[in-house]
Parts: sequence; structure tokens; C-alpha cells
Amino acid sequence: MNLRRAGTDTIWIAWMAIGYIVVLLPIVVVVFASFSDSNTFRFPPTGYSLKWYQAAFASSEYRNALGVSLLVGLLATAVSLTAGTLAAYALSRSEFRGKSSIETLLLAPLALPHIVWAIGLLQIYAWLGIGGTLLGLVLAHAALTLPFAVRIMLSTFIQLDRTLQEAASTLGASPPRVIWHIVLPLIWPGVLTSALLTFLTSFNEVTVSVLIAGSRYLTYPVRLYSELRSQGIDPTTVAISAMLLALIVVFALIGERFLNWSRRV
Amino acid sequence: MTPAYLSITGMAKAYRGTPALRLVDLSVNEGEFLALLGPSGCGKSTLLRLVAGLLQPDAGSITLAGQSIERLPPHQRDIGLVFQNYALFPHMSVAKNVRFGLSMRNMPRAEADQRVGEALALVKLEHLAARMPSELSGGQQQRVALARAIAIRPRLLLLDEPLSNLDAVLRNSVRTELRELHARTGLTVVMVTHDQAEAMTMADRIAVMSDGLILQHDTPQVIYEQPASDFVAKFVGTPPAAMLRVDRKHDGGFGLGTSPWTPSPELARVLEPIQRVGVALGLRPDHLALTAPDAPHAMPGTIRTIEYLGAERLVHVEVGGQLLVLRLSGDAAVGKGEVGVAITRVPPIFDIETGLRLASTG
Repeated sequence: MNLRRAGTDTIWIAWMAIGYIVVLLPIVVVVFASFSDSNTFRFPPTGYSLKWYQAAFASSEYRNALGVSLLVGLLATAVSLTAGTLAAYALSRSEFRGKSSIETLLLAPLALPHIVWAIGLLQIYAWLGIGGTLLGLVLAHAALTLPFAVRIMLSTFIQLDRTLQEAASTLGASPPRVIWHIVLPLIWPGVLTSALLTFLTSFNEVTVSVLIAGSRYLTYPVRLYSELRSQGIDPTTVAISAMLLALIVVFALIGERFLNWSRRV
Repeated sequence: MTPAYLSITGMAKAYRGTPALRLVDLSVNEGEFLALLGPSGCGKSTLLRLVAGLLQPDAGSITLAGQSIERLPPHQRDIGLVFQNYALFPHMSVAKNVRFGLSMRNMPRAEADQRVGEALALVKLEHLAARMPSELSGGQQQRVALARAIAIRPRLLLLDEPLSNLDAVLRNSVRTELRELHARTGLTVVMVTHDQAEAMTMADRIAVMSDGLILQHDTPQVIYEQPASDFVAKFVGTPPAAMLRVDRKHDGGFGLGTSPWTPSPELARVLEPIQRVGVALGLRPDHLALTAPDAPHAMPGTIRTIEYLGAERLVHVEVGGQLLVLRLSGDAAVGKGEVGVAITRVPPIFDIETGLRLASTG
């Protein structure tokens, strides 16, 4: 009996280990390779140095691309979060005909192939004359990430007890003060979660960015991708990627520790 | 006569065409404890929310202390409301919860500190001021909600089913505490409840509601002894009143079901002038006594069950197809079988069709 259970446990542990290896091995490869002292991407490295990190900080091209990514990410997050929060609030606090279809529609981009969506968007942007502009790129990313924002904010608002707002108002709080003292403090974990998720999604996006952005607004992953196509892997990008990875892991740990991310999304 | 402290006139409210309140007039005197009593869906919570300003009426007016308030938003009404789920702010400590209403009034710090202390002392929770709501038991949370509502010195205190989320043991002590609190603060209180025992024991007056209307608004004693309709009689009292149909025969005599019956001269005097084919007697244990089956004026019946309650016994007797409940002392010996039931006092008498109590009776 115990023996059999021990056997099942071993199988489960092995299965989980395989899962972790499949997910994490590429990351391990990148991290190790970033410390390589050779001039080409190689794993495992033959010697270790920080020279690619120095090169990364020295490269203005990558700095620019990271800057674009950061700018687009922040703007797209702001747009998507504002729209998503308002939409989620309306959805959570009202009952109307067709509410469930609107909910489904808001989540649709999650299931759509980005490339198909981007081709359509390209045509629309050509009509609007915003192809290749920062505005176009930001709007595209905002639209792509809106489903995440709506989804997370919707569950946040559903968990927010409506009687708290009523209680605050009977105690003398005007509607703006109810939002400031009651609603905002209670929804900020949701806001932060969807902001980070939106930002990271925008930051990782390649397909739509390639099609929408002209040469003026090359985001970091797009830059990386085109580099890869033309000259193979540049160890500088590996170093930058390793740094980004570290940053994202730190964010994820913070998010999990303070905001219970894994239970929210 | 001076107008009532809280006065509600012609209040109506419908949700998507379904009326929740049909036409309600209600007045509450200053310092009074009023219970809005009724089954779920009767409109009592709607009425409470209208008074608090959380709902807008379709028609009607509300005046509080001489001021018309139905157009005021809730935050300008100075009405304290204790929610059924307490609605404590989870991100604030007990003290901050109680202070919230004072902060919204921009009260100076020292004065607010003192008020918070007083309110917490009133509900005996000074020692928990620094706790978060999630660290409190249900009963403690309710007291915080109460202290928070009282701290603003409301012109009116509304309680929405204050005892329904508490366990049975706590319920009895909170019942007493709420009464004491009312006596100490002198606040005017309106409480919503579906529990008639709660309303009877706590309130100065009760408004019994059903289907969006107030059926009767009076003291617990009048509501118990002179219910305005069969609904009130059946809703109030433990056990509730049983309705016994008495038919008028063509020859002027009376009948229970198919068999003729001769009521006592006292009851007959009341029944005789009523020009109805049938009436319903609202019979409580207080109106009934066991007799021999062949005693004069007795109604023949069969004992069905006997509930032993220590000091007393409730005997359920079937008379003319209807179960009546009688109260006997705990040590009285009763068996099962055929008995007679005598009506010892004139009970309230109701119209069979409308359910209303006939004015001449009770």
C-alpha cells in the first residue's frame, strides 16, 4: 500500500521534473551563454566573461530598441488598463441584454492568431493613415492586451462587495470619496496585476509589431528577430535577454508574494 | 398633533415593472424602535434602502425631523445603516472603520478620537480597536458595524436583519444588547426582520408587511391580540394562529365542516350579527381549552401529536379538518384519542374572502 503510493509519487515527481526541464532549459541555456567569452553564441560556453554585458550597455541600437519597447509598453498599458477597467466596471455593475456576448467579444483577441488580426489592422491603419506611427503601434498593443485587462479587472470588481460602497456612502462619503477611500484601495492589486501582465505582453509581442511598426519604431523583440534572421545570434542580445529574464522573474516573485498572481489570472 | 419624526408617504417602487412597494405610508416617532416585519420579498428591505437613499423611489416622500430627504443623496442624509453582512471595510482596522464617517465629516482629530472611543465602548470592543475585520468573529464584526453607524450620531439608525448571520446562542444576547443600546442612546431605530419573535421582543411598534404593502402598524400586543388580517395572525405568534372555518347554515345555526355546532353564548353573540356565509376564527392556544368530547359547546376533535416543552405541552388537535394547537402545563396527563375543544375567549374573526378582520370582533 505504502509502497504503491511511493511508486505513484515517484512517477508524479518525475513527470513534474520533465515539465520543468522543458520549460526552463532554454532559459538556462540563454543565461549560461550570456556569460560566454567567445564571439559567437555557444552552449555550453568554453569560458566565462562579462564582455557581452559590457557590449550590451554600450550598444545604442539595443538601447534605442529597449527604449521603444518601454515607451510602447507603458503607453499601451495605460490605454488598455483605463479602457479595460472602465469596461470591466460597467460589465460587473450592470445587467443588460447581450452582456454575455460583449464579454465573449472582449475576450476574443485572446483566441485569434495575431498574424491574421495584424493583417486586417494594417489595412485599417492604411485608411486611417497611422501605419508605422507610434500611435498605431500603441493602439495595436493596447487592443491586443485589452482582454487581459478586462478579464483581471472583471474578476477584481466581481470580488469587490458592493455593499462596501453603499456603507461608505451612508457614512457620509460622496461618490468621488467612495472611489478614493474604498474602491481604489481594494482594487489596486488587480490594477497592478493587469498592468504588469499587459506591459509584459506588449513587451514580448513580435508578430503585430513587425507588421504595424515602420522602421522608426523597432521594438526590442522585433530588433532581436531581424538580427537573428540576417546575422545569426548576436551574443549582445543574449546578455540583454538574460537581464530582462532576471527582471521578469523578480517581478513574478513579487507579484506572487504580494498579489497572489497564480490565483488571479 | 406634531408630525412624526420619520414620515413616509405614498412610497412606491418597482423593479423592471415588478412592484416591490405598492403604496406605503409609515410614521415613526422620535426615539422609537420600529420593526419592519415580513416574509422575504415583501418589500421591507426595499423600504429600508429607500429611507437610506440607496434606492430612488418611483413615487412618494420621506421627511426626517421635519426635513424632506427623498431627493438627498445617501451621504447627505445622516442615517446610519448596519448591513446584514456588516460591510466592514476590509483594508481598515476596527478603529479606522469606526472613524470613517467622522473623517468624511472632517472632524478634528481629538474630537474624532474621543467619538471612536465612545462608540467602541458602547459595544464593548475598545480592546480590539487595532484589529483588522478579518481577525474578528461574526458577532464582533457586527458590533463594529454598529459602532461605525452610531459614531456619526445618526438622525436615524437602520438595521438590516441584524441577527440573521449570528448563531442561535449569540442571537439571544445580541437581541438584549440591541435593546439596551437603543435605551442608552435614545436613537430612533428601524429594523428589518423576517423573524416575528425578534420583532415582538425588540420593537416598540411593528409594521407587518406583505407583498409591498403594510398590513398593520401597531404595538406587538395589538398585533398579537387584534391582528388586522389572517395573514398577520398566521405570521405572528409562537405557535401562529390557526384558521378555523365556521359556516352559517340556512337555518341560522353554525357548522364546522359538515357537522352542526353550537358556539358558547358569548361567541354566538359576536357571530350572530355577521352576515356572511362563512368566517374564519383565528385560534391561538390562549383561546382554547381541552374538555370532554360531549361537553356543551365543545368542538369534537382528535389529538394528533403532543410536543413536550418542559414547562408546558403543545397539543395538536384536529378539528373539522384543521389542526388547532392547545397549551397544557407540562405535568398535565393527556393521552391520544377523541377530545373536545372549547373556545374560552372570543378570538379574532376574519372574512373568508378578504382575510380582513371583521371590525366588530376581537
